[in-house]
Order: sequence, then C-alpha cells, then structure tokens
Amino acid sequence: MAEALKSVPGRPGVAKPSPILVVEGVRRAFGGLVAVDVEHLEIQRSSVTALIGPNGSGKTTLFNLLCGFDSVDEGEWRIFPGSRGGGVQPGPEAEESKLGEVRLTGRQSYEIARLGMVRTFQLTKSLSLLSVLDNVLLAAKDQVGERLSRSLGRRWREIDERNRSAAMEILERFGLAHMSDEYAGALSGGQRKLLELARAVMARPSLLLLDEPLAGVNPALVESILEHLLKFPAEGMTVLFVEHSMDMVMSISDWVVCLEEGSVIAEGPPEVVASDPLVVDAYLGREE
Amino acid sequence: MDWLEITVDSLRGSVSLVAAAYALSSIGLNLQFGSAGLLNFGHVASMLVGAYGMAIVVDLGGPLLLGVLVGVAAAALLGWLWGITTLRLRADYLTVVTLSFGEILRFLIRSNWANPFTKSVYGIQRFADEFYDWNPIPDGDYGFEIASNPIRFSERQLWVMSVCWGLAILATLLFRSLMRSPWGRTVKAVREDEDAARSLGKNVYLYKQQALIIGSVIGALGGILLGIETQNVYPDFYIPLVTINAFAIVILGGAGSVWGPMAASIIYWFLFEWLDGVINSAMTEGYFGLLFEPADSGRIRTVLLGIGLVCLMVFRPQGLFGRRREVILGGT
Amino acid sequence: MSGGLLSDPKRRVLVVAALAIMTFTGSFGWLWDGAALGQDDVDGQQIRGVMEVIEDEERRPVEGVEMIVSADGVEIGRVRSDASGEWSVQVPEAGTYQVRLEVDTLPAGVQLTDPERVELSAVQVREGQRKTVRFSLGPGFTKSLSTLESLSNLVVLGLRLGAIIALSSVGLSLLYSISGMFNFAHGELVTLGAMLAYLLSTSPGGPQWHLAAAVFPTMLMAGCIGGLMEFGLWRPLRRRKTGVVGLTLVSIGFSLFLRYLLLLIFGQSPKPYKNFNIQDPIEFLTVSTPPKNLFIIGLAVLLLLGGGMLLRYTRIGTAIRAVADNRELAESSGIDVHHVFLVTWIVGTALTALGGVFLGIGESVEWDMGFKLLLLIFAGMVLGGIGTTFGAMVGGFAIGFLVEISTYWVDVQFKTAIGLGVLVLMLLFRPQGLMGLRGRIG
Ligand SMILES: Nc1ncnc2c1ncn2[C@@H]1O[C@H](COP(=O)(O)OP(=O)(O)OP(=O)(O)O)[C@@H](O)[C@H]1O
Ligand SMILES: [Mg+2]
Repeated sequence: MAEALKSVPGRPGVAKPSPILVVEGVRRAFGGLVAVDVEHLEIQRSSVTALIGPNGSGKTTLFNLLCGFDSVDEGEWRIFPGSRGGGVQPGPEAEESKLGEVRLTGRQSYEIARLGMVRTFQLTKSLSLLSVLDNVLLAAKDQVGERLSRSLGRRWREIDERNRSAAMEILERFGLAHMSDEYAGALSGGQRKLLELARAVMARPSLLLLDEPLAGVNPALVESILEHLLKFPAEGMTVLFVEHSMDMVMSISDWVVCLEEGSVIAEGPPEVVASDPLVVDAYLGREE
Repeated sequence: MDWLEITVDSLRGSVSLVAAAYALSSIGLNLQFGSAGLLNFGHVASMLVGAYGMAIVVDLGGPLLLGVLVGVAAAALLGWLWGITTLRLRADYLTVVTLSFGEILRFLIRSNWANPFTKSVYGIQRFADEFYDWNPIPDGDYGFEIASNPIRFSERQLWVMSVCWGLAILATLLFRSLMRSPWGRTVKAVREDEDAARSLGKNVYLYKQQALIIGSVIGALGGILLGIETQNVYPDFYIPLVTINAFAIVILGGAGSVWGPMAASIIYWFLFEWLDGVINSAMTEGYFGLLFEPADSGRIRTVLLGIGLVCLMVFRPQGLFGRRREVILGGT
Repeated sequence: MSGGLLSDPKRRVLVVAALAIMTFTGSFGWLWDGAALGQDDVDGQQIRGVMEVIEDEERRPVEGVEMIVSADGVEIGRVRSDASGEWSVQVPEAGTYQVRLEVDTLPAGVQLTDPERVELSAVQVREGQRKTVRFSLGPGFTKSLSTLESLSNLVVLGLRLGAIIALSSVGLSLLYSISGMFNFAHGELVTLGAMLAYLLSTSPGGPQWHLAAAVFPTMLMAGCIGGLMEFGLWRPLRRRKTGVVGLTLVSIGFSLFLRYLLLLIFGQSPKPYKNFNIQDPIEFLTVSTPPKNLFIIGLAVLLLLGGGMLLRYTRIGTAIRAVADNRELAESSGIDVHHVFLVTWIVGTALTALGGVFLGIGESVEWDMGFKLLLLIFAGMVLGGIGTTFGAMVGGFAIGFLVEISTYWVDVQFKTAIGLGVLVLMLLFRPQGLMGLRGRIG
C-alpha cells in the first residue's frame, strides 16, 4: 500500500488514503516545557514511516503518550487495526476493533498493546532473569496458560510448543538463536536491542513503534535487519520508527515525519523531507 | 557443654512442626517476593488471619474444616486488600502498608473491643481437637536415638508434622507448576520490568494481585497448622519478627527457587535450635558471668538473626544454593 | 579513607560491625547497674496488673502509675504502667512479695477507692506464674475535667507527639528522597537517642549529668553513629550497586539487630529520666500541662524551621535537594554524592535522636519505643506526601495530633491503629499526600 503514498502531498498533518493511526491535537507539557504538541498526524497502513527530529524534539515522549505510558494534557488518537494483525491477545477490546476504529485516548498501556500497537524502548528493557527464548515467548499471543485459571491445565503446553518454534524462527532471523538458553541479562547492549525487536515482532502487532531500534547494533547486522523491517508491511505490520541516521531513513522508509520542539514541521517522502529547508535547518543543521 | 545433645536436639527441631509450618508459609512469601518481586513486610498477617479465622469459627461452635476455609478465605481477602491499596502506587509503598496492616490487625484482635471474638490478649485455646480425632497414627512414641539422645515424637506430633510437611511438598509442587507455566513466565517478567511487560499487553496489576492472594493463602495455611499444633492463638505471637523469620528463610534458600524454602526452613530451624542450645548451656554454665540473664537467650538469638540477615544480604544475596548472577535482589 | 584495611567494602562492613559491637558492649558496664533493676524474664515468674479506672461499665487505663515490688523490704523492681495501663515486674523466684503503689504518681482525678490499700503485703507467686494483682482505682474527689479542658489538654499532647514525629521523620524522609529506600532501622535511632541520654543523665553507672546538659552530647554521639553507619554499611552497599530491595532488606535486618541489642543492654521495663519527670502543671486558659510539653513543642518547631532554612538556603542544602531530584544529574554536575549522603545521615540521625529524647521525656525510655514510633512516622510521611521533607514535617504534626485527639473518643489502645488507619485511607484516596506529588519544598 506504500504506493498509495505517492499521490499524497508532503505537508504537515496531511491526510492519508488508508491511515492505521490518527493523532489529533495531542499535547504534553512538563512544567513550562511543551514536549509534544502534534496538531494532526496520520500514519499510512502497511508503510514504513520514519519519525525524525533533533534530540529532545519529543519523539520518545510522543511514543510514550501514544502507548499509554504517559498521559496527555489534551488530545486524542485512534487506531484502525483493520482485518490483518488484529490484537496481541484477543480480549473484549478486539471485539470493538472489528468495527474498524478504536479510540485509544485514556486507555491503559497494556490494553493499547493488546489492540495491536506495540512499542520498543529507547533505553532497552530486557527481562534479565528470563532466558532469551522466554523473553520472546512472553510476547506470544493467545497463550491460554497465561491465565491463572488455566495455568495448571495441559492445554497450554500444545500452544506453547507451537509458540516455541515460532519464537525460535524469529530468534533465527535476528541472529540470536544460538543464545536462546542464555539469560537475557547476559546479552550485550546491541543484542538486547535485537531481542527487544524480536519480542515486539513475536507479538504480531498491526502497528509497531520502534524507538531507535538499531542504535548500537553492528553494521553488518543492520543490513539484514533492515531487510526484515522492509518485509514487515507485507506481513501485516505497519512500522513507525525513530532513527537518527539519515542514510538509514532514506534507504528504507516510505514516508518521513519530522518533529521539532514537539510539533510536526514537515512530512513527506524521504527525498523531499531531507531537502526541506525547515528540516535541514532544524535537524541536520543543528546536528552537525 | 554437651555438643552431641545440642546437635541432636537441633536435628529434632529442624524437622519439627515449626520448621514445617515456616516452610509452608515461606513458600507463599517466596511466590510474592521471589517470583513477583513484591516486598511484603506483613506476611505475618496472612498467618494471623488464617489461624484466627479458624480459631474463631471453632470457638463459636463451627466445625474445624469450616474454620480452615474461613481462615483461607480471610487470607485471600487480605491479599486482595493489600493489592487495591498499593499496587497502583509506587512499589515501595507496599512495604509500609503491609507492615502497617499486620500491626493494625494485631492491635485490633488484642483490643478489648474485639474481646467477644478474639479473647484479646488471652487468645483462644483448644480449638483443634477435631483435627487430632482424625489422627490415624496409633498411640505411641515414634523415633530413634543417636548415641542415647532421642529424636522422638508422639503420635499427635507426628500427625501434624506429616500433614504439614505433606502440604509443604504439595505447595512446592504447585509453585513449580505455576512458575513453569506461561503465567509464571509473565509474573517473572512483571518482576523484571513492569513497563516491558505492559508494552507486551500484560496486565501487570492483575498478576501482582494474583501473586499476593495465592501467597497469602499459602502463608495462612502455615499459620493454621502452627495454630493447630499449639492449640493456642494469641495476638503477641504475630509480631513483625515472624515475617522477618520467613524472609530469612526465603533468602537463605534463594529467592524464587523452587525447593529453597523447604530446604532453608530445615537449615534455619536447625541453626535456631542449635544457637538456642549453645546459648542456654553457656548461660547455665556461667560463661557469660553477670553479663546476661536467662531471659536474654532469646534476645541474643534475635540479635544474631539480625546480623545474620544483614550478612546474608551483603555477602550472599543469592542464598545458599543460588548462583551469584541469578540474584533477583540486586537490580536497581 | 586510607586504603588498605578500609578499601575493600566487605572488610569495611566487618570493621564497622566490630566497632559498633564494641561500642555497645563497652556501654554495658555503664548501664548495667541501672538496667538490672527492671530486667525481666519472659519465661520466669512475674507480678503484673492493669491500672484502670472503672466507671459506669467503662474502663479507662491509667498511665504512668509507679509500682514497687519488694521482698522482705528489699526492692526487686519498680515500673510504671504503660499507655494501656499495663505493668509487670519480673521476680527472681517463687515466694512472697510486697507490691506498693506510689500514690504520688496517680494522675489528677484518679484515686484508690480504698486509700488504705496502697500496699499488698503478701503476694504469693508460684514457679513460672504470671501473678495478677489488682489495685482498685476510681475517679477521685478532685474536680473532673470538662470536655473543653480535656480536649485542650489533648491538643497539647497531640502537638507534642506531632513535634516528636516531625523531628524524627526529617532524617528518614531526606534519606528516602536521596536514595529511594525506606530505612526500617530508623526507629531504632529514636530509641538510641533516648537511651544515650539516659546513659548520660540517669543511669547509675553513667556521669549523671542533668538531662538538659546531656541533650547536646547525645545528638553529637548519635550523629557520629549515623555517620559511621553510612560510612561502614550503606556506602559500601551503594558502591556494589545493591538495589533498593536489597537495601530495604538490609535495613530491616539491621533494625532487628539494633532493637534487640538495645533490649539486651537496657532491659525490658520502661524507665523514666531522672529530670523533668514529674512537674507541676502550669495552667492557662483551659489547658493544664507540665511545662516540659510546651518546651518540647517550642524547641521542635524552632529546630524544624531552622532545618528547613538550612535546606533551602545553604550550599549543602541545595546539594541535598539536587541529589534528591536527580542523582545522576547532580553527580555529573560535580556534586559529591557520597558527601551529601554522609551529611544527611549525620544531621538526620542527630535530629532523630533528639526526637527520641523528647519521647523519653514525654513518656519514658523503652527498648521498642522507636519501632512503635516508626509506624507513625511512616504514616506522617504518607500523609504529608512521600519524598517531600516539608510534607513529612507537616504530616508528622498532623498524625501526632490526630492520634492523640482521637483518644478522646476512641480507646487509647487503638492509638497506633488509628495512625495506621489514616495511612491506609490516605493511600486509597490521595496517594500523593497532602503536599501534592511534586511539591519539593525542601
Ligand atoms: N519525565 C520528564 N520530565 C520532564 N521533562 C521531560 C520528561 N521526559 C521528557 N522531557 C523533556 O521533553 C523533551 C522531549 O524529550 P524526548 O525524550 O521525547 O526527546 P527525543 O526526541 O526522544 O530525544 P532523543 O532523540 O534524544 O531521544 C525534552 O526536552 C526532555 O527534556
Ligand atoms: Mg528519544
């Protein structure tokens, strides 16, 4: 569906043909400092969208707000999970999602994740005393054994077996299969980033929010992971990722959104945004 | 000082009902603290409501089994109350609230106002005769001797002990299957990093709440059996020190480990009795001169327990059997 | 911090533990004579009773009545009844004892119903028995207090308890805000303060100074002990990156160790200071109270104000607030965090010790006085808003006040329970406390 973006003009807040996420008037201030103030933002379904902006421009804060890890001062946002992907775990929320649109404003972070919007963290959060495999298994959806009432039964074992092979496959993709029995705490910083990514993928979200997923990952591996990333849309996962390296942004994204001081100052196809004077001024200019 | 006698006595203590009851109760704490990372400083309250729930029902004329059910239900309710008061707040509130809950409960049952039910400071006695009526073990003295030092138990003692150790094994098996299931995996994830668990769609609050309730119920069973053995419950038994004993056992066995609480309880009560024996005989033989009085022996032991707990945390936080890198207490 | 011996954190813990034990055992000799008087034996036999006034079905405990137990004219022990009116004296062996009630210590409005019966001359105690004896008390002929009068007296008592809680909570709250840990051994510092002052002023083996002269040395000694603990225990643990959970568990172990060590040294029965013990009440408006209460309140308020000023306007105060706000940031901007911790420990412990002395003056010195107070200190902290030192002071005053006033309607035995009840309610309905979430007013 990324082709659909070709006809969209590149200006802040522009409407997309088939948005998966719509953000309206979301604002968050810390004391006097306005960290996020997004008037309108739509993310196109099945695209790879990059979110860029100088340090402190509010990217992480926006992720926190959207995923329910921080509460907004005002504004609302909705997700259109559509038929693919669905939720992490079907719950009462998933019923609602069949209607096509779910308001996320004010929901708990775990509900938002179940509705299909899963994020990773800029400061990696690995579960140190769980094995690498368990880390990934944790994210698997529909595990009956996760309910206390079913945890002593037998049924979950079958499902767990299936999840296990799926998890191993994902670990293979991210080059962690040989470490599957290690404690996650024993991994290096870069490996933890990968593990977190693997975990998020295991949850099969419809919208994946990645906060600098490749920071600190070795360049050889970056190539292969970018390839995987590019395949995500075809697997039903829309990707919104934060990245500082313009090369990477240019090479894989269909669309780029640039934040400065919490507001969207530009959006459009990568080449267009990269040469936008405002962006050069705000971002690239300041970075150098 | 008769070292052999002291050691054999301590061996007897290490399999006695007290050790069994603490093992059982510590399994509950292990689930809360070791698995879910919840620092519950009011574990004694679970034992209190379990024992008192049972004793009050029997005292009012109900059957023992109903009493046990009431005690267990009360403990579940207590776990739920801990949860709703603290789980939505910062984690460290839990320590303060649980400690306070325990003391509030103790003050309440101690007060004149609760006298009709709890008999205040005097406590309730002889409520478990029914339990001993069920005893299938024929009358007699069971045990053996080590170099003419007996390790013997009456049929009554043997009966409570078997039930309690049996329950401890069952609880351990339950703990093991729970922790191996996806439920246990999620509970551990919640302990490691709440935000990561949330970002994967886990309702952190629910899991902590469940761990608190199950832990409280298992803790109550320990309290109930301790009550049955002594046939006596009184408020001033349930002081915060009991919780600290349970923590010492959990940490000694390695927080979160499956067989840790049972093994550690045996070792702990062995040490406890051994110290008691050594201190007491040192006293009767006058080693301390005028420095200490007979009443001080329990206090000296408690001082040593405090030092022991500090040293354990400083030098071997992983417990006796754990591996250093598996310490769950270390992370900031 | 010379290298060698003290450089290894493990070894440093051991050295300080050894020092602490030596200090305490060193004080044994001093305290011994005084302590032996009230020593009691839980397993042995004792004589006990409850001092209460029974009036129209209602029982009111009477606190602070002195009882003297003797055998053939030799005094065995003397105690005062506690807040619930209970008292007990351990006796060495089975036999016949005399128990005398010190009539002077009966509070206004309470008298023996039979004034002749001040002494029970033949109390038989069997081996291991807990013998209960009764003195029957009734309302005296002195005028009974009006509602307004008793309430206003309770206000003074409430302010006194509030002042003590507020003083003692400063250290705990500062420490919590810079380290994120609740120090469960904090209550023992209260007891320590009270006992150090007892040692200097009242203990027969001590220098027998006037209590007023002993206050400052007590604070100094307590401050040193606080600094030693930081230096020997907490700093090495922080260096090893022990987490908050670990630290909290260490603190609860340490609290157990200290509390029972103090019990060993001091004995179980409560003992009053020799000075400021019994004072003639001064009267103004509807209040009638011994002057010591007003002194305690006034002094505490002054000190708290002074402390607040220091925190707000001095360099070290600013540094403490900076570390509390964001430790990493403070560290990277050149603040010596270890120094901040050390100062906090020294000042906090000294103030807490003073709180202990005041508590000892107001009631009496007892081995678990601090542990009992700790729960109320926590309640004050939660009430005021955890992590704000100013909030802890205000919350402490409020809790002390509430708890004492409540005794007008509710039985005294619920005193602590009421404080804890407030804590729980507060967490349910306003967890950020009275002073709000981010109010870091120093
Ligand atoms: N909890 C907080 N309290 C106060 N200010 C905050 C908080 N979180 C973020 N901020 C401020 O909000 C602004 C945006 O921060 P944010 O972390 O979202 O930036 P970012 O775009 O992710 O930067 P980077 O590229 O460095 O990751 C910053 O100025 C930051 O100082
Ligand atoms: Mg960021």
